[in-house]
Amino acid sequence: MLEVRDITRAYGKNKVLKGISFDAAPGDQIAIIGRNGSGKSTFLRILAGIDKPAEGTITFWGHRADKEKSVFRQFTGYLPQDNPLLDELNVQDNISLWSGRGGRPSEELIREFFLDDILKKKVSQLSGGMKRRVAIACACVGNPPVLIMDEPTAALDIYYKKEIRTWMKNFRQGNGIIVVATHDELEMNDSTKVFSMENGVLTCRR
Amino acid sequence: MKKGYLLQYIRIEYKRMLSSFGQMLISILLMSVIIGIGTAGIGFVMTHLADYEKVTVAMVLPEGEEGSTLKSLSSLIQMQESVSDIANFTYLSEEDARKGIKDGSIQAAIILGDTFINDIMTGINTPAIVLLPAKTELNTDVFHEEVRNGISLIRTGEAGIYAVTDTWINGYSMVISRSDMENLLTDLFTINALDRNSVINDTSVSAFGESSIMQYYIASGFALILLFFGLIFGNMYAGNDITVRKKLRVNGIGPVTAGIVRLLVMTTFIFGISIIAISILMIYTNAAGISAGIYFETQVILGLLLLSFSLSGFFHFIYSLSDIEAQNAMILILVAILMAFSSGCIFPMAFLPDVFQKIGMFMPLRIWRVGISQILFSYLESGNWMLLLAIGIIFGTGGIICQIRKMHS
Repeated sequence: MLEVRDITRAYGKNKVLKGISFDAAPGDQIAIIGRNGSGKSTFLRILAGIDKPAEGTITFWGHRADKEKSVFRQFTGYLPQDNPLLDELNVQDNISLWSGRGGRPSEELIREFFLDDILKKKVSQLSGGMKRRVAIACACVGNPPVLIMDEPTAALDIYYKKEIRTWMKNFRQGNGIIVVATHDELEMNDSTKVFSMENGVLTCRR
Repeated sequence: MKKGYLLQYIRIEYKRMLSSFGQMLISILLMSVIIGIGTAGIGFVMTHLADYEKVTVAMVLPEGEEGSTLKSLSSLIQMQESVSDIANFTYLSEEDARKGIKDGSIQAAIILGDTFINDIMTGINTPAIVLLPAKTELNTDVFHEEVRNGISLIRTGEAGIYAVTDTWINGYSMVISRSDMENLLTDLFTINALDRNSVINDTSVSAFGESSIMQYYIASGFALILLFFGLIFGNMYAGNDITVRKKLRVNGIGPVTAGIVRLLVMTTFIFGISIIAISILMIYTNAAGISAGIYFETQVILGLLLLSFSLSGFFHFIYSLSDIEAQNAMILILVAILMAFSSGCIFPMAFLPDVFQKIGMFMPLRIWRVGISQILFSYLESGNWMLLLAIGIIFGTGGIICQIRKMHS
């Protein structure tokens, strides 16, 4: 169970997040929609532990993230909007960086993300869709129960979009929680809850 | 933070650096060759600036016993350092000497007559004939001036002796013959004249310090090559690095840990390159029969390790200034060029204008150059140990602070 209470964040005098709160249960997909610059990415970064809120708490299955340092690492996987991969290295090395283990990744991960043919390929040689697939694989290393995704299918063709949406469905069916910032209507339709972010305030739409 | 993450991060950073090195290998090697040739060339010019092209002087001597005596005397004169530094004597006939001056193979000729010695002994001043080309070079003029000074000295001494003997003959009674008197005075004059040389005590002060010119420019070239090797490390700080690092921080690898890992990676790499470079230098100097005085000892290994750490700290700082790889590379190149000129790597600092000398005193490159020189050719002084360590720590810490600020921006 994910509990978010009163998350607030400001850049100087500009308050970008004002008291964000919601709950998510296993199997939920929480979609956050809003204009560019509305604070969606900032909120997701806070949820992933990359940025700190000015106020508020985040709790993962009773574990307070502000009290225990390893909570974010244990409970979350994060897919940023930017490419989080090291282009000059191959897919296997990128996965090793996040798994903390060298050598070949788990067969489960390889199977799930169709990585077998591209493990030894440099990331710079991959297409946009393949890079995104690998980035999601890196986020899922360690089997986190909560996946935080910032526009996962932006700039991808319909085939890759479908592939990633299918994967997201399977993840939820495995009792995972997904929090996704999106502009994609199909992703919104797949979500169990939809929130809109406007002027730093999160409003439930569905 | 899991130990596994840290080990994988270290492995990944080494791999990134090696990947960058592989891509830039040709450029780096070319740059090293150019710097090596450049510093060798400057060293060669500096060495030969001190060279003075000697003149070839033809001695035209009479035949017979007098000629043999004169040849012995001129050989003795040529052995004097003040003469051998500027001239080589050769013995020719007058015809060959004149021909040599006309065709330029001889720069001057001194013709001594048949009765030259006898004339001197009997007080007849038969002049020696000095032949010079119509158009003389500087070195010929110098030789001519030295000859005139030498003759002036002899004439002055001769005049003094004659003055004393004439005074005694005219004013006092002689208990020894005039010639014995002149010989005695000549001996006394010679003893006293030679003694005068101890008035001036020559001490050499070199712009190159205690190193030879060759050692100075080996150290300079080495320092410059290592400095420009820093361009390899730009890739470790480039591209989407900040996104990855923010994610890594969640896994316990924050800017401090990442900074220390990068310092480790760069230090070991620079150390490895230094060892290879010195090995190549040792092989080359041995093969070429050049005595460079380079040996592998414990203090050399430790000194190179410290030097590598010092350079790493500097690179970490430079590359932490901006997230744009091209900008950081440009900063490094500009700083390197400024340091190269002001730190004495190209021209010794003593030759530079005051402003550059003052700037150069604080340049890390000067400290690295001096450090390398001491590490390779003598011993690293404790003051320089501290300076090298301080550069590594201060710049390394500065780089980490820049990274922390970027994380929070």
